[in-house]
Amino acid sequence: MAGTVDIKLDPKSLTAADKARRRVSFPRLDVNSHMHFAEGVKMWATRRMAGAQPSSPICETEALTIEQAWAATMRDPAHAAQTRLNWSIHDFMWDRVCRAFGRDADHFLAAMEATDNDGPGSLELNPALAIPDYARHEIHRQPGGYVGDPFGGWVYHYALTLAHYQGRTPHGELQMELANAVPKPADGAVNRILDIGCASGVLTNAMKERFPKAETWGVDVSGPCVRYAHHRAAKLGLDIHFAQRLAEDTKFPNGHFDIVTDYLLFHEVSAEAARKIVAEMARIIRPGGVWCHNDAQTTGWPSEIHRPDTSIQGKAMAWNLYRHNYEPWYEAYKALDFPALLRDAGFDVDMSGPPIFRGRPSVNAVKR
Amino acid sequence: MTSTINGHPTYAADYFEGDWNKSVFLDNPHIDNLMTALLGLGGEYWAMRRRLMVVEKLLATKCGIDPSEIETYHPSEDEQKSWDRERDDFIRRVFSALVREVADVSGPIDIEGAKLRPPRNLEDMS
Repeated sequence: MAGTVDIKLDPKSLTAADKARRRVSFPRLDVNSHMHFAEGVKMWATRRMAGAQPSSPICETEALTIEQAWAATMRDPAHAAQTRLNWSIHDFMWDRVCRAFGRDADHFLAAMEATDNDGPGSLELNPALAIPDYARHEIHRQPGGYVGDPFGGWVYHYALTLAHYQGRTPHGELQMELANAVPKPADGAVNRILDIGCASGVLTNAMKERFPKAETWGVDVSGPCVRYAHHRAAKLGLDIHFAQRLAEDTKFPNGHFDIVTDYLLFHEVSAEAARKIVAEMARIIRPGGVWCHNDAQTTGWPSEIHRPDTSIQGKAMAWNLYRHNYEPWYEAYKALDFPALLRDAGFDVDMSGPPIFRGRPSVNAVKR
Repeated sequence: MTSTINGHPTYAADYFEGDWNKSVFLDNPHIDNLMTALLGLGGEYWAMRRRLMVVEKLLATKCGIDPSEIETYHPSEDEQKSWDRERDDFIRRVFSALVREVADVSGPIDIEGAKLRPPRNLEDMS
């Protein structure tokens, strides 16, 4: 379409000025140092885990449940110590970030207030929104979760950027890569974009940078998340609309969007909510419009990389993520036949290619 | 109606408190706690090292201050009180792990039994 502007993002060639504009940092040296430390420990632990083998052989069997597989691997003292280390440094990361926002709460709250009603872009907060119970949990061990901490979005973005991602996306590079990989509709028209479950809005921002002329929306159930997302986008000069709404009830008209993205949303919602969200996406995406879905493995995929890992290590990791990364809906999501859900909702599903982003299962669904 | 902090609206909502911070991975919860505290100490040590590197660089390049002045510095009473507060906060950050409440979290997540809490306030973040 003549009006569509599509800019290829180049995360490897950011200028010093670009990096300075996108860099996140606390106004206190000690907090930045704590994040630097957490990042270093996570990198060291990741490298150590990559070569680690159980000190005693474990009998592999398909019959083990994920909980049994976890218990079997935890009998290895080295694995248990590694697990303790991983979760302790993870909790250190959240704890120090939360304390930093609490310590300077007036400063950070005033900063968000200053942009609540300012542009570019807009912010829609809905304190009366009936937040579903499934969204009220402390996912990823983040204190207060997405909805219960006044700085939930800010905490999430800073902790992940400064420590958890281990230096892989200091300026939003990963999200730029993902935005680049999102396919356009066959007719090329991209007038409206939605990032559903946008959290702190980093992917939303990248989509807006790729399609600067498109009306771009980020929707999330969390008030603190969309509030921070708008604050961040406004500071970056990006004209994006952020709204606190439910993914299963977005309030948009039928056939409204040319592209919808979701990144790691579905494994954080209940199976019942997932079905409703799929139906809602089918309602608001126009015929020929694209839904680029990125999340964990589920059943129903023809390719092994899209299906859950059933090795004992894969099962143990599944329990670790569900139980200790505190993701209550992870297993329910994996049990869904997601391709069938998409097809039944009215999408043609392209499963021919490899994952488009970081090896994570992704699917391009085109609305019939 | 949204919760507030110091008169600022927060738009945070009630949330279910998880039991993720009660888990035990080693033979004795106190060993778990010691490892957590040790990591906390490492973080504090590294923060201090970084601060010292910054301070020493600035002192040497911009102020010409003799390092011996640092060695013999004595705080005022107000400074001492401030340092005491910093020390107490430091001890809470690092050693609260040693008195952590633990529970058996080996089964599935107890969704039905999860306790609904009001939005986090400044006390929760300290």
